[in-house]
Order: sequence, then structure tokens, then C-alpha cells
Amino acid sequence: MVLTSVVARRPHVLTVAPATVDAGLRTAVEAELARRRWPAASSPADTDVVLVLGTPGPRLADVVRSVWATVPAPRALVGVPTEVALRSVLDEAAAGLVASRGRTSLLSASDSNDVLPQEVGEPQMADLAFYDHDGLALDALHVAVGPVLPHWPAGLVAHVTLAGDLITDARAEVLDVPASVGPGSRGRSPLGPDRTRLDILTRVLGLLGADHLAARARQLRDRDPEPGELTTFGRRLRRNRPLRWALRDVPLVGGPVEERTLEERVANLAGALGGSLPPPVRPTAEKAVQAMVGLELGAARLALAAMDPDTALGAGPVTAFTPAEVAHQHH
Amino acid sequence: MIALVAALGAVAVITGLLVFTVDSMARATFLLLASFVAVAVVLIGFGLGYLGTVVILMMTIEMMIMVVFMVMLMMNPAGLMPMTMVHNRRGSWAIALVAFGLLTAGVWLVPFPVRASAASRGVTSGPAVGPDPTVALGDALMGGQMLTMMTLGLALLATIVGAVAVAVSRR
Amino acid sequence: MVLLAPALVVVAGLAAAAGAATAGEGPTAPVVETLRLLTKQRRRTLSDDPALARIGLTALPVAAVLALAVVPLGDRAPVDLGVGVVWFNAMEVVAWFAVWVVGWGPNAATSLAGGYRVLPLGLAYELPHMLAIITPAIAAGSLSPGVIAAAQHDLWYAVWMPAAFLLYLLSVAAMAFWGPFAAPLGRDLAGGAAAEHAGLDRLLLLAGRWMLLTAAAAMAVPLFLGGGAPPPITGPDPFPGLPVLWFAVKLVVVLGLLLALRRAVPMLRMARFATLAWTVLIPLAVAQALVVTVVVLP
Repeated sequence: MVLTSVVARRPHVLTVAPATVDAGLRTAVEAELARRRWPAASSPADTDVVLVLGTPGPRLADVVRSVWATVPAPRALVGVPTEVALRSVLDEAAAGLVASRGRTSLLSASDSNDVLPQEVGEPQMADLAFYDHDGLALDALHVAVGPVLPHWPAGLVAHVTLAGDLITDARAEVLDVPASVGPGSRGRSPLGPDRTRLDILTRVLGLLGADHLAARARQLRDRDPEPGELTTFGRRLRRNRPLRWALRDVPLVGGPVEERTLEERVANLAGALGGSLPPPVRPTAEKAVQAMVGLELGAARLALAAMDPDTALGAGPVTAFTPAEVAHQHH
Repeated sequence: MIALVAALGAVAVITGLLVFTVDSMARATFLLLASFVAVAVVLIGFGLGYLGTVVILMMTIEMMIMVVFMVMLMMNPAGLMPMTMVHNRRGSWAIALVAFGLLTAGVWLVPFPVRASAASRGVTSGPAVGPDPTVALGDALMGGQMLTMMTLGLALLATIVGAVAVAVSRR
Repeated sequence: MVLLAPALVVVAGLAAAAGAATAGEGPTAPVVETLRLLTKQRRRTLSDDPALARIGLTALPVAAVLALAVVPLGDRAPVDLGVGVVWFNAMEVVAWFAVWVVGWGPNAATSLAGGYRVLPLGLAYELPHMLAIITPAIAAGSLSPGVIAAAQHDLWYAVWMPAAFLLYLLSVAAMAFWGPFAAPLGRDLAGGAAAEHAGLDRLLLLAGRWMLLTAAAAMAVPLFLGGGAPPPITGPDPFPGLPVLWFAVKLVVVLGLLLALRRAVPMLRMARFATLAWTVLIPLAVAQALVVTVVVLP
């Protein structure tokens, strides 16, 4: 019992947000988790508390159910419909962990201590093959990436074809939001220009494992910083040579002309901080997911995080998904 | 000591046989590696520290290189896509038996050197004592060809690095 | 020898605490994390291979302890193997195998991709690393870490072969797939090889990583920093008869340099690091080994 109460002081939290989640709620939750020093869980296996933001639609609720089934005990499942309830809900989650049961369960799930089965929706292996440019028959893997991943756009599922860790085809789907044909979100920025930039930088830096820089970006996003602080931080990022080197060699296909690479995009985001410029361009989900094609998974994650599609508007115009498949004899 | 060597020998043979009974490439890789490591520990027990350690080092890296080819050609982990580890049974049997016969004959036919100090005491077995076996091994393998080998090795490495540099800059 | 494993666990825990403190967390975070993972249920996935994954998970801390066994902790190694440097290298590549099967076992795409990332990482850092550890061995004329440490009573090898020392520091982080080289357990893959492991399994992986890092950092002391001897410039030893103390001080310095490296350099994608390793680090390591060889040739 003493053990579990010690553990409940630092639970790992898996946050699940629908595409239409209020940006203010999402940032408030991230700020409160950072204040409590509760780390973000990297996967369901790493999770103690599953935190569902806003009101999930039926598709996302299915995902939450299957994710919850694979979270090892002791665990707690709580919902944060609005910002007002945030602190009491998190306290309740910690108490629920001690009792090894989520008291405010959104969904009825049994707390069995048996081996946890992997549910549908998790990646599955396939043996469909295609020929690469050298004429080698390679195994191709069809995987749904998202929507429960660290630093991933809310509600987005990328249906990708993988050859090794190379994405050879991709299609976007936004759960519970009809695919619209809107032109993306030029001008739509619920957080305001600089906070949007800092939000994107938080994700890119977090994916890169530059934790202290990511924490600084999040701090600046979540309070009202002086313009001087913003420009200082922007300059610090632009002058960080190891960071620039690590960002090099990732094209952003379909981005604006002045942001054709990840390095340029991050440099522009950092450079515009505190400069009262218009908000950064955020493409449709489909356009951003298309930019992942041809990249290795790690680079693709960085590209997607930097483009930061506005999933609240749906996936956008969707192109047909036609993986080039041929029969493949396994030896 | 003899019991330990015999036990490790048995481990090497059994894991080696098991390689052909499992249906997953990862398990086969692990068993093959376990077999090699058992042999390596036998070598270390014989006082051939360098040889035994290098067997562990090289075989582990070799298995990982094999995994590179698994990455290139297949992405089927665990037991989802079982596959057989046995092909061309007759040919394999023939090759295995011939190789086994040759090696066994070699054990008995090759005149093993007897250490002078040990021979004078009438002992023909036991761990090596005397000059450093690592130095002796290097001398036996390389001998007078040391300079040639070093030059060749460096030239080969320079070629590899050059090829990588050219391939990277053309991207 | 019997105390080696618990000692490594304690020192690795202290290193993890220092790591947590520099990352802005409480220094008690590793303790809380250990308790959390010990009380947490283990986990399996569909059509997995738990036996193989758990062999890998166990091999990781075991390899770290076996690697440390040949490092002179002070003036004498727990196991005085004449070819200690090669043994250390062999144990460290066992970790590649371990991480690969840990990622392979759960039968999930992110986990598998994480396990596979060990290959480009290993093949990129291994050659500069081998050349970096062979260079002090050439200078001392021995593969025994104890003899190499004793050969530095006039001048530390870190001073007269700085490139080899820097390459060794980089490869310490790389062999523990930690800091800039954490890609096999990367956040972009939801934890990579660790993504599907919970409870004790996860603890073995994360603790094994800190143990590997600590064991590899400990090897830097005899290879480059004169082992348990005081620095050559201090004159007479102010703490005679306490080589363990000097060893500990130097180990702390090496671990401090590694923590600074993690803070300064973000996680590298394997394509970036492989290019750097093959076009810059390997030629640098060869040049360093050549210079040392030419100087020490009789």
C-alpha cells in the first residue's frame, strides 16, 4: 500500500484527445501535468493513467477502449470534459491508482490481472510485397499509425504502407470528423500566432528528445511571455548547431515555397517568435500525411509534427490509396 | 574442468541441432549464437582467451549482419509467419557428413605441437603455459606477412569509406 | 566479484538520479520509477515471442556486469583477463543482440522498427569505437586494461590521444543506446523496442541501459584517465592506498561529460549518424591510431 502511494506520486499519463478538442483545454492539461511532474507515457505499456480530453466521438471511443484493454494494472481511466474539472480529475486519478481502479471510468472495463491480449487496431504484420527501385521483392506492412502516440496531431490516423521503416504510401483519416474539402487553415489559429509556433516547436523538440528545449517552449506557450523572452528563445534555437544538424535532410513535400525542408520550417518558426507576424501555415491532414511518403519513420514523424496539420477541419481532399501489390512467395 | 568442457560441448551441439527445428528466424539466430558462444567459452577454458573472446565478438556481430538482410527482405517478427529452417535436405546431409568426416579426421591426423616444457614432464594436455598465446596466435596467423596484411586492410577500409562518401554526396 | 552486480546497480542508479536531476526532474525519480515498474503488471501482445524477448531483457544487465568484470576498479580488476579490452568489446555487442530481440519479441511494428534501429547504430559506431579502444592498447602494448592504466603514469592517454578519447565517449553513449543515440527507444516510435514492455520487463531494459552506460564509462578510466592513479601533475598521492577513490572521481567526471553530451545534442536520426560515422569518425579514428602507432613503434 505504501508502495502504491509512492508510485501514484509520479504516474505516467497517456493523453487521448479528439480532433475537435479545444486547444485551450489541451494546453492547460499539458501545463498542469508538467506542473505536477507527471511524465507523458510513450505507449500504452508505459501508462498508469489514461486521460481522455473533451468529448470523444464513437470511433475514438473504440480506440480508447482497445488501448485501455492493453494498459497494465495498476491503472486508471479518467475523462476531462472541461478545464474546470482538471485538477480534481487528476487528483482522483492518483487516488484511483492507489485503489488500483479508475473510479471515474468513462467506459466499463474489467481490471483483470491476466495476460493482456492485443486488440485490433494495433499494428499487424502482413506479407504483401512490392518491388522497390532495385527490383527486390520486399515485404510491405500496412499499419495504422496513431491516434495515440506522443506528439501526434489530435484524432489523426495515418494509414501507411511500410517497407522496413520506410513509408512508401500513406493516407490520412481523422476520426469522427467528416473529410472536408477546405483549403487548410491559413489564418485559423485558436492559440494565436506565437503560441501556435511554440506549440509546434514543443512537439518537434519533444520528438527529437531535446527535453529541456521542449520544456522551455511549452513554458513560454503556457504563460504570457515578454516579447523579449520569445525572441531570445527563437535566437537560441536558431543558433543551436547540433539541433540544426539533427534536423537536416528531411524534405517537407507540399509545404510553402520558403519551407521546403524541416530545417527551414523550424528556423522560420523560431525566427518569427515575438515578431507579431501572421500565424504559421498549417496544411490539411491529407497534405501533411502525404509529406511522410518516402521518409523513414523517424523523419516522417518529425515532418508531420513540424507541418502540424489542423485536424479539426477533417482530413481534407483525399487521394486514392493504391499500394502496388504483387503476389509474393515466401520461402 | 573436463566436465565443464563436456557440458559446454553438449550445449553447443544441442543448440546447433535446435537451429533446424524452430520455425522463426529470430529463434534460429539466437540458438546459432548460443552454440557459438558455448564453443567460445570452451576456447577460453583452454587458455585461448583472445581466440574465445574474438569468437563471441565476431559471431554476435555476424548474427546482427544477418539480421540486416532480414530487415531488407522481411518484416515478420515473432511467430506470425512461421518458416522452415531446412532446405535441400539431401544435399545438406551430404555436405554435413563430408565436413564432419574431414574435421574429425583432421583432429586425429594433424600433428599437434607438444610444448617442450610439458613434454619433458611427460604431460601432453592441459592449459597452455609459457609465452602469451595471443602473441603466438598473431605470429602463427600473420607471421612475415604482417606489413602486407596491414596495408591491404587499410586499403580495403579506405575503399569502403570512399565508396560511402561518394554514395552520400550523390544523394 | 560477488559484490560487482549490486555495486553496478547502485552506481547506475546514482547516475540515473543525476540524469534525472539534470533533466529537470527530482533526483528521486529513478527510485520512484523502479518501484512503479516493480508493482506494475507485465504485459504480452498477440502472437508474440516472450521467451526470446525475455532472454534479451535479461542479457542486457548481465552483459553490463560481465563487461565491468574486466575493468580495474582501482588497481585491480575483479577478473584479470589478459585480453580484457576485447572481452569488454564482445560483451558490449551482446547488447545489440539483446535490444534487437527485445524489439522483435512483441510482434508490433513500432517495437520492431526500434529493435532494428540498433543495426545502423551499431554498424556506425562500432568501427570508430574499436579503433578508439585499440589505440591505447597499441600505445601500452597490451590488451589488459590494468597494464594500459599502469602505462599512463607520466601522461594520460586522454591528453595525448584526444581524438580516441572523444570517440570513446561518443561510443559509450552509443553502446548504451542513450542520449543522442536513443533512437532504438525513440519517442518518435512510442518508445521503440521498449514500446510494448511493461513492469519488470521494462525495468530490466531501462535499468540495463543505465548499467551498460556506467560500465562503459568505467572502462574510460583505465583506458584514457590513468586508472586508479592520481593525476600525474599532483605530485605525491594525497590519498595513498586509495586507488578506488581516484577511480570513483574519474568515473564521476566521465559520467558528467556524458550528461552534458545528452543535454547539448538532441536525438540523432540513424541516417544522419551513419553518414557522420562513415565519412568523418572512421577516418579520424584511423588517423589517430596511425599517429599513435608511428610514435610508439620501436
